[in-house]
Amino acid sequence: MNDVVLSTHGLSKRFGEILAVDGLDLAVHAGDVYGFLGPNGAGKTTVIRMILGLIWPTEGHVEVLGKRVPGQREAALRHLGGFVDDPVFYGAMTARRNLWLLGEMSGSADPDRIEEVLEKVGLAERADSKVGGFSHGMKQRLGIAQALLHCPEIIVLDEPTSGLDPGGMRDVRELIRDLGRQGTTVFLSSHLLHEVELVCTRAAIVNRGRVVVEGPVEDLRPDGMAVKVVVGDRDRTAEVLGLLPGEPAVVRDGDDLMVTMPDEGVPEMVRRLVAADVDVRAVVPAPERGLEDVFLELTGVQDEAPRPTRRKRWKLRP
Amino acid sequence: MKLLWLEIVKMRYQKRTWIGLIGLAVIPIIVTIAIYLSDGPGGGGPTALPFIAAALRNGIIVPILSLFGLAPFLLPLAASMVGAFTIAGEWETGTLKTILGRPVRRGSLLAAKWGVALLYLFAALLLVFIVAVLSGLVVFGIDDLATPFFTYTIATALWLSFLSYLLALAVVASVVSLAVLFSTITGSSLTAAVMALVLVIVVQILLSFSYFDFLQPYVFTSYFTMWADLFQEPVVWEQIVKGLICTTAWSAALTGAAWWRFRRRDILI
Repeated sequence: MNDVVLSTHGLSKRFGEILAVDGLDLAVHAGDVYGFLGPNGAGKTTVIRMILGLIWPTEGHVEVLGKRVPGQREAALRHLGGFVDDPVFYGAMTARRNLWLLGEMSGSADPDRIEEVLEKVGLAERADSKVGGFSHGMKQRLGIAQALLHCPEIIVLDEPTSGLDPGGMRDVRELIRDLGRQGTTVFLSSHLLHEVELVCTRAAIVNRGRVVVEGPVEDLRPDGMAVKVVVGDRDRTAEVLGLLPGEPAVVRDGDDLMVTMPDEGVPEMVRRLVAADVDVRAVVPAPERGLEDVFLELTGVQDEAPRPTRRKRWKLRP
Repeated sequence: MKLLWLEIVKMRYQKRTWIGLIGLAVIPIIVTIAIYLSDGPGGGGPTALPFIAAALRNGIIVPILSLFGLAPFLLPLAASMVGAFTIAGEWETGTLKTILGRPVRRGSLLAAKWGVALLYLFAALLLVFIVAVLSGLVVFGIDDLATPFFTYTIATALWLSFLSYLLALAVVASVVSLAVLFSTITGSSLTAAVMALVLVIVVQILLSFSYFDFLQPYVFTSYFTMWADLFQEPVVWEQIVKGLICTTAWSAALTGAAWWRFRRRDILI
């Protein structure tokens, strides 16, 4: 289960002046649910376009089960299903008809299989409605259905939960986890750290067309819990925190401090702050840390983080 | 071959397919009415054919007169539109990326779309022919086609008319190819259709000047009405053969250029 099924080799794409993807090397192993994380404009969609053979790399190539893209694009696409951006279908045709058409293009469309994938994505009841009347979320589901249709070994999804309501998100994430459990390799782009934490086994974070960090998702997650500390004297607090065992990571968040530390360390922290005569106004669980925060920390563009305690708490493998 | 079939299936779902067919089928009916209202040959146009004047009350000439109406302008217009929709139509809706996510070769897709465009025009011309024969039959009745010099039997006249339609289609294949090329360049079907049609018209205008006479044999627009030579006794094949060679060469060259352009085009939709 450890062989590479999807990989990019020095993949670059230049659009005029802009280098959208810059020498990207990725390796996705069989059975991975691989998160491809990055902020908007990081080059995620461009990479997926190159994987699907829709655009030509300026340099480098993609390899799908030993088949090169774009050189052996057709052979590669037999093992690959997916979509890029928002999936688009023939609006005048029914969902079933669309799937039939696309299935025929991959060889043959088995009506039972069409029924099965429609069931899987929860569109069975709308199978005979015209896609033109579908909501964004339903098209997104149909996009997943067509990706699964020809039972590919690898599935590539570009922000599959974008535009879905919370229930839809949960369903899609559950579906992706299921696929992973069944041994299908999933390559999933997202700008939601939370989503990747929920469904993925491995992840790469990209920014400006480059991999910033790559590794198992457990390692990407910050240790312990994050709390927001509202205090009178920030600098003094930072100093005190620096002496704490367990080296908590401290990040400035406006006038407050975000402290990431093991749960059991919180009482000790408060005791020390009080002992050091710092006015502790509040200690509250921090809101979910977004990818932006992770980025700031990873790329070191944090502005004036308190010096003494600024330690990297991300166990990241380069 | 399967792609060709799938393209036909897709075409059935497009409204423009049916609107186009209906629009073209109306032409012979209009022509029939015009003939009915006219009491003699008009000032110009189709009276160039010697037998027209003599046969204005014979339904057998409706297919020929309809083709005369279509060949120089409406047929090239239809061809540029059909050709322009091939790639650009799917580019605009975004379905191009959906189908190219499937293991189909871009070349095969282009070939299938070109084939379907031509099939569509064939179907449209067949429909025009049938409607023309029927409306001629209903309004005037059909009789042998008598000209001052010789007489065609009904069967011969119909056969020659049908052959004329096929020859017109063959020439217009070049226009389809031209529009397909523009279709792969612009990604906008309207732009592609207009570009192809404008080019055809400009070339036709230029070729009407004697300075450009030397180009005449090499440009497909010269052969839009070459089928008229079928109605000479004996048939003059020279122009027709030249025209077929010319349109084949242009179609191959233009479609080849379209393939070259489409083969590695980035699909950014």
